Amino acid sequence: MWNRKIDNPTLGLVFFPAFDWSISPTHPERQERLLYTRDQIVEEGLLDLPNIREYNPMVASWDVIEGVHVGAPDLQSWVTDAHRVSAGGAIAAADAVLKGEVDRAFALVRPPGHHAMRMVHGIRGFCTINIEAVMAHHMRKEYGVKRIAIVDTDVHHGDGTQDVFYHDPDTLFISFHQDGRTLYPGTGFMDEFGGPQAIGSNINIPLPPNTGDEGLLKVMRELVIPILEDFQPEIVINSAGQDNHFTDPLANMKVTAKGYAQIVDLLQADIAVLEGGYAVQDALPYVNTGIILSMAGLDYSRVMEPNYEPIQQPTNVTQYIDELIEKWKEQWQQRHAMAADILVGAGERWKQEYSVYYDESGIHEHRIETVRLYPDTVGWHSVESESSGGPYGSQRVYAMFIPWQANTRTREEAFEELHRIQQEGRCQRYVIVDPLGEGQIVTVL
Amino acid sequence: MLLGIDVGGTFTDAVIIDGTQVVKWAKRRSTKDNLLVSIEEVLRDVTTDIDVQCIERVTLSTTVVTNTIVEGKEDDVDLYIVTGPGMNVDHLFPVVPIFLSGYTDHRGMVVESYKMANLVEAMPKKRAHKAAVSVKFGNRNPLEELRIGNALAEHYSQVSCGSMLSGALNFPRRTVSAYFNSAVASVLEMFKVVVVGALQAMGIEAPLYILKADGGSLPIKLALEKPVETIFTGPAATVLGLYASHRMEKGHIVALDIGGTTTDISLWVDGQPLMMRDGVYIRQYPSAVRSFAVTSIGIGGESVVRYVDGVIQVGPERVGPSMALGGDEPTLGDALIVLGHAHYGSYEQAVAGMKKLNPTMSVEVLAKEVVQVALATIRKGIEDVVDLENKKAIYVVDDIVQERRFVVERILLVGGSAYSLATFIEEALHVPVVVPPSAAVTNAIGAAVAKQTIEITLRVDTKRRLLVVPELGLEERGCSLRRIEEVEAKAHQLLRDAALTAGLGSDEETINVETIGVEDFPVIEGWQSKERIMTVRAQLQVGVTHYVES
Repeated sequence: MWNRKIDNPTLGLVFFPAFDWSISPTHPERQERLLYTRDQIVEEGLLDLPNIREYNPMVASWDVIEGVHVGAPDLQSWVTDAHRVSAGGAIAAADAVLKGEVDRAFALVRPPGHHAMRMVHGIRGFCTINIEAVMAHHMRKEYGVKRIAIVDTDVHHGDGTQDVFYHDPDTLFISFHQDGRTLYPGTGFMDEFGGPQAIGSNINIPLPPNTGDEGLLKVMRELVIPILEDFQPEIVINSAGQDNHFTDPLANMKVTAKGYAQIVDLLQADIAVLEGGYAVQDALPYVNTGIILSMAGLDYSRVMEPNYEPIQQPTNVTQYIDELIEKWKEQWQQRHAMAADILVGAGERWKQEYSVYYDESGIHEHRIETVRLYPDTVGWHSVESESSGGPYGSQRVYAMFIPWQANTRTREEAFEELHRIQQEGRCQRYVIVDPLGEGQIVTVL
Repeated sequence: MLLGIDVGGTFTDAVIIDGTQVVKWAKRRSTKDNLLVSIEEVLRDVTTDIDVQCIERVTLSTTVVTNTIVEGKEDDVDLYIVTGPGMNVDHLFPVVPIFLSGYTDHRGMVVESYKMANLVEAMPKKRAHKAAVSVKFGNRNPLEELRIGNALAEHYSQVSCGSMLSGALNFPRRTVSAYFNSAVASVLEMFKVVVVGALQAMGIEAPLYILKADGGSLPIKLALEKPVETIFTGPAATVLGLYASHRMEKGHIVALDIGGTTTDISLWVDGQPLMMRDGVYIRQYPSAVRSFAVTSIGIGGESVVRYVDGVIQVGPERVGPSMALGGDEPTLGDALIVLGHAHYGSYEQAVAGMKKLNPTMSVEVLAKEVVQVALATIRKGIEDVVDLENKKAIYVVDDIVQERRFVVERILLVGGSAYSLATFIEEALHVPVVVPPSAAVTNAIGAAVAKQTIEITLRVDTKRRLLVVPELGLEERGCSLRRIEEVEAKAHQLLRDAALTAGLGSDEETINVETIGVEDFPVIEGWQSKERIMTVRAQLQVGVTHYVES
C-alpha cells in the first residue's frame, strides 16, 4: 500500500484541538495549543478545498485502549475523555483511509501519546495513552493489517511507541530526534535496536542540536526511506511531532515549516498523527499548513514563517550527521546477523530489568520484563511492574502481553505462565492482554 | 400593514399582512424580459381596495441577483489580494487576482505593510470599473484592507472590502464575497430603480427593505453597500414563511417544500432554522455569505418520469406540466393522480401518461413504482442533509462526549404536492408527517414579516489592548476590557448602536441582540504572563415580526 505516488491525492483531516482540555493552565499542553493552527487552517480556507475532507473524531472504546495498555491501579484512573477522543481521532483517520474514502489522513489532535508506554502508572512527557499504538491495534483488529511502520518526526525520542512495539517484528518503529544526552526523555540510541525476537524493527537516529532542514532531509533520503523500502510495510504512520522547528521552546533544532512539508512529501505516509510541538504561535500554524498541503499533494512552496530567515546548518553538525548515516547503514546491513547472534545460547527466556520515570506524575516504576522465545514464532512478553510515589500509593502489577501474531500454542502457554506467576502471589493485580483474542482480562487478588 | 413582494423566476407574488392576518395576496407570472410589468401587475392586484397609505413597510425577496450569478452575467471586477506566505491561491477565485505584497498575521499584527506608492503600477492596463480587495487575516485587523481600499476608490466606481462583509476567518471566502459584492452591485441598483418606480406609481411611500440570504432584511440603502448578501433570498423567504406559520415546535424537524421542479430541504432545531456552516457557494466558489441551510433536490410535482437504461427515473428535470394538465410527458403528479392521492386536471390523461411510459404494465403498479423512486430520492436527500449537519466539526471534548446529533423527529411538508405525498413519505421514512394549511404565497409572507438583522464579530486581544470589529471598520487601541462578560456586553452595545444608526428599530427595546459565538482563550507568553484573546459574534435575532395565520 505504501509509497504509492498518487496524483491529486485526497486527504482526510481530523481536526480536534480539545479547546476545553489542558494538563494545567500554564502547561505547554494547554487549551490554546492548536488555536492559532485552527486560525491558520480556517483562514487559508484549507477545509473548503475539494480534495480535503474533514472528519470528526470518535471516542475510542475501552476495549481498543485495553488492547494496548495496562493501567495501575487501572486505566480509568488516568485516562480522561480527552485522551479517548484524541485516540478516537487517530482511529477516525485510519478508518477514512482503510475504508478507501480518502488516500491519506492527518489526525491533528491532542493530547499527544508517543511517550505513553504499555504500562500506565501516570502521565509521561504530556502523554497518557499512545494514540498511534491504539490506532495500529484498531487497524490490525478491524482490517487485518499486518506490517506497519511508524516514523516519529517529533524532536523527542518516541520512547512510548518504542516500548509498545519493542518485541513486535512486524511493526517497524523509526524515530529521529534530538540526541537523548541533550533532551528529554534521555533515551533513543542506536543500540536500542528491537527486542530479541524483533532485532532491526526499532530504529533510533539521535541527531545533534542545531540540525536543520538539510540534515533531516538527508536522514530521510539516505536512511529512513531505504529502511522502509526494505521493510515493505502495508501502512506507514507518521507520528508527526513539530518541535524540531527552529522556534520551539523545549528543544534546540532548526527545522522550518517548509522543511517539515518536504519531509512529509518524501515520506508519503498513509496516516499522520500530531504529537508534540509547543511553539504554538510561531511554528504550529505554519508547520501544520505545510503538512496538510504536502499530504494533499498541493503546492507548499509559499508556506513560510513570518519571522523566517535563512538558516545555515553548522558544518560540524553536517559532518556528524554524515558519519551517523554511515554507521547506521552498516548496522542495518548487519541486522540479520545480529538477530541470529542474540538467540545463540539465549534459551527460552530473555529477561531485563529497568526503571521508568513519570515526569508529570512524579512516579517511579521498576520493571522486570520477560520474553518467551521460540525459534519459529513470536512469543509472549510479560512485565512485572512496581511503582511508588503516585496518588494511588505503591502499585504492583503483573501484565502478560500476548502478541497479536499468537497461535493457539503460544496463547495457551501465555495463560499457563500467568497462572504460574499468580500462584506466586507477589502482585496486587494480574492482567493478560490478548489483543486479537479475548482482549484484556484482569484478576485482582 | 406590511407589504411583501417575492420576484421569482416563474412567479411574482405579493401579499399584504395586517397584524397576524393575510388580508390580500396576488400571483402573476414573472415577465422575465421586463420585470417591471409583472411587478406593476401584482402590485395593482394586491392593493385593490387597500389604502396604500397604511402600508408601513415593503420588503422584497428576489432571484434577480441569483440569476445574474447563475448565468454568469455579473460585471467584471479587478480583484486585489494580500496573501503573505501560505497556500497557493492562483486559481481559487473567479478571476486571476492581482497580488500585492505585505502580510498581516493571525494576531492581526501587520508584519509587512503594502507600499501604496506601488499601487498604480500594480493595476492592470485595462481596468474594470469595479474592484474588490481582500487581505489574509484582514478580519483580525482591517487596517491594510481599508488603506488599500481607499486608495483604489480613486480609480474605481466601487471597491468592496472582504472584512467589511464578514468578520469570520476564511480568507478565500471573504475574497469571493468581496468579488461578487462588486460584481452584482449594478444589477441590484437597477432592480431597485425598477421597484421604487413601480411602488411610486402606486403611491406607496413606505420604506423599502430587501431580504438577505440569512433571513434578515436590510434597508435598501444598506443593501446596496452589501449586494452580495441579497443572493439566494428565495429559499430564505420560504424558510421565513414556514417560520411565520408558527408550526415549528420543539425538537428536530425536517421541512420539505415540494414545488413543481424541486424540493427544498431545511432543518429546524427547537423552532429555529439551521444556518449554513460557513456561508453559501456562489457558483463553485465558497463564500462568506451567511444563509439558511437550504438544500434543493430535483424532485417536484412536475418532475418528468422516464425510463433510463431500463430503470424508472423521476426528475431531476421538469419539461412541462403534468399530462393531466395538458403536458406531453408523464410526471410524478400524474402518478399521484392515478393513485388517487391528487385530484386535479384530467384523470384519463394521467392514466394515459402511465400507459405511455410502459404500456405493458398495470397503471397502478407502475404509478406506485414511480412514487417509490421519487421517495427514494427524497429520503436520500434528507439523509445527506442530516449527515452533513451531523458532520459539523467538533472542537471541544464536552461536545463529543455529550453527543448532539440531529435525529429526525418530524417532517413538515409544504408546497404544491405536500398533501398528495404526505402518507407516502410517512410510510417510507417511518417519521410522523405534518402538513400545515399551506399558503400559496409562503415566500412573499416570509419576506413581509422578516426581521432586520446585522452581525458583528468583536475581538479583544488583551496583550495588545486592541479591540477590532471588522464589519464596522472599527479598530480601537488602549482597550481595557479583560473579561469575556465585558466583551460580550460591549459587543451587544456596539451592535445596538449600529442598528439604531442604520434605522433598524426605533429604540433599544425593539432591538433583540443575541450572541451566536464566544471564544475565550488564555494566551501564555514566556510561560507566565496571562493574557486573553476573546471573540464574541453577535447578531440581531433572525426571525419574524409576526406569526401569520393563513
